[in-house]
Amino acid sequence: MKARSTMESIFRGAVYRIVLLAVLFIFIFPFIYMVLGAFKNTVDIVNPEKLFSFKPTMRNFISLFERYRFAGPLKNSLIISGSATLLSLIVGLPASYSIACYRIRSLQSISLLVRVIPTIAFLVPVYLMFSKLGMVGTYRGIILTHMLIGVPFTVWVMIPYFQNIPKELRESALIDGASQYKVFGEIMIPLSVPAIMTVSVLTFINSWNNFMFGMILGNARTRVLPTLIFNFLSHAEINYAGLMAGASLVTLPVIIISICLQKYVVQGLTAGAVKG
Amino acid sequence: MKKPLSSSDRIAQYLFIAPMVAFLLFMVAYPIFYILRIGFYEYSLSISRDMDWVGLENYSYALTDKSFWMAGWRTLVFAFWAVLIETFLGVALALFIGNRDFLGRNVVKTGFLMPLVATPVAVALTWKLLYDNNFGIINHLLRKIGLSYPAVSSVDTVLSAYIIIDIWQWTPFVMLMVIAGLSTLPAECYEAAMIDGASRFQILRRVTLPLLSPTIMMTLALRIVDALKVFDVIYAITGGGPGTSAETINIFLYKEAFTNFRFGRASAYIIIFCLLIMVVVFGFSWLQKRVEVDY
Repeated sequence: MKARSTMESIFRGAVYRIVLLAVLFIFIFPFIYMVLGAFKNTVDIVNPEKLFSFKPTMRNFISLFERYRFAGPLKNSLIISGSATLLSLIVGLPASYSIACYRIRSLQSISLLVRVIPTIAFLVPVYLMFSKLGMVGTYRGIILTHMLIGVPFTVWVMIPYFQNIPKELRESALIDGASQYKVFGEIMIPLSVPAIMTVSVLTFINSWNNFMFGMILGNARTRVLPTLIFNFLSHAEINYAGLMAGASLVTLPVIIISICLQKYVVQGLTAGAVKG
Repeated sequence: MKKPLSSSDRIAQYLFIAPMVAFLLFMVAYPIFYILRIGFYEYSLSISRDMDWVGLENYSYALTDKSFWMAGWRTLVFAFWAVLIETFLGVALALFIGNRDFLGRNVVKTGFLMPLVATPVAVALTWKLLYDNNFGIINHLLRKIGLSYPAVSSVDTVLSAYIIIDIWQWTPFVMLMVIAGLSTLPAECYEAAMIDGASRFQILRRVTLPLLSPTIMMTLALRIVDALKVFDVIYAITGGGPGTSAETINIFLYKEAFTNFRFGRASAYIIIFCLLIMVVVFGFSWLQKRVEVDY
């Protein structure tokens, strides 16, 4: 009797695994397909019979850098996403702290409202504003628009986090004569490192992936990666192998981030899943 | 008793929020004011660079513009099916994986994370090849069993093809949200239910799902708002085509502004779109208060 139930549980475990792996396969297959395609010759990529059996080539990656000048947009994307992340923190952290301590409801609502307003509603007026100010095609223009996603997200994650830090900590430090700045910089910030990681990782990813702002506000000098690979499409013939190589390289950093910092990525994505 | 703020405290408080206020004024308040204003003008870069006051003409034009409402309807259809299916699948997957501890749990989680974090344009290009009638693996396999799926190349199937991509992209989001919600459910409820001799199905129906409803509502709200704003994948693959058959409202608005350069009319349309989104958001937060459960 006992033997049978262990057998049964092993069997159940195996079925469970198989179902899980099958579902997982569906979700990661496009990535496998993308990476395989990146290493294929033009003749192999147009032949679906040769999904796995082909002679790998590095040609696509080489031509990406030599013919399509991948390096420039790569640098632009790094500068823009890095700056947007840092600046979102500089703007968002002290504000979230202040909002959490003094319950500035109006500011909280406004910044959360920005999260639901569609990008296009900012893009049109900001494009016209930036044209007048000579900011179209500049790094600072694109960085500012990416902060429209980063700052509200910072506030969304940080306010509840700051609110959950025991009030006594702050009050006793103030009674001991510490300044507000010291309390913020030396107590609150060190205590919030995990939440700050969450915010940074997600803001970076969102900025890296952003398509619409960069497409309109960037120019040949400040073009970002999503715009670059999108522009591959407008070439007369579609070079699928080149496209897959580009797509793989653009996606690689975010995939590495989510493998190394999985905990923070999940926390950031599910922020707000549970109230409090 | 709250002690009154000293003046240095007050200065600190202002300094903390000053960068945020400056940012919001420059990047949110002014643009919103600006777009509200140009909604009342004929402002079209292709005709002239002048702005002509036209009052409510842009808005009245919107009411009769069939292509605008068609785009809106298409977006609703897209959002309805995409969100419905991904919610169902996501909740099922979350319950399937649950809080179970097994070897390789983190690997599995990372796998599910990938569609969510990958650059949408890169994902779109990959799906373009996957769907390709001649070179793509999907149609290659379908051909072997005598079927074909024209996906994004046919007016009849294009919306369904985009719904499939959206489901692939966002089901993991629902799953992660629900797993996060599951991890906070109180153990006592389960113990009580077990003692009362409830079956697994009864526990699922009477305990787990009701306790999860705030999380599911929150997820639904976020998903609906984002699905109504769908842009990147569709724009990258067919630009809303073939024809206008996959032109969702965001793509319609984008073309109105940056292909036709009719900024005045685009602004009026965008404001209508924002109002519709607000209605959804407030409707949901109202609903959310109704389903709030105490435990």
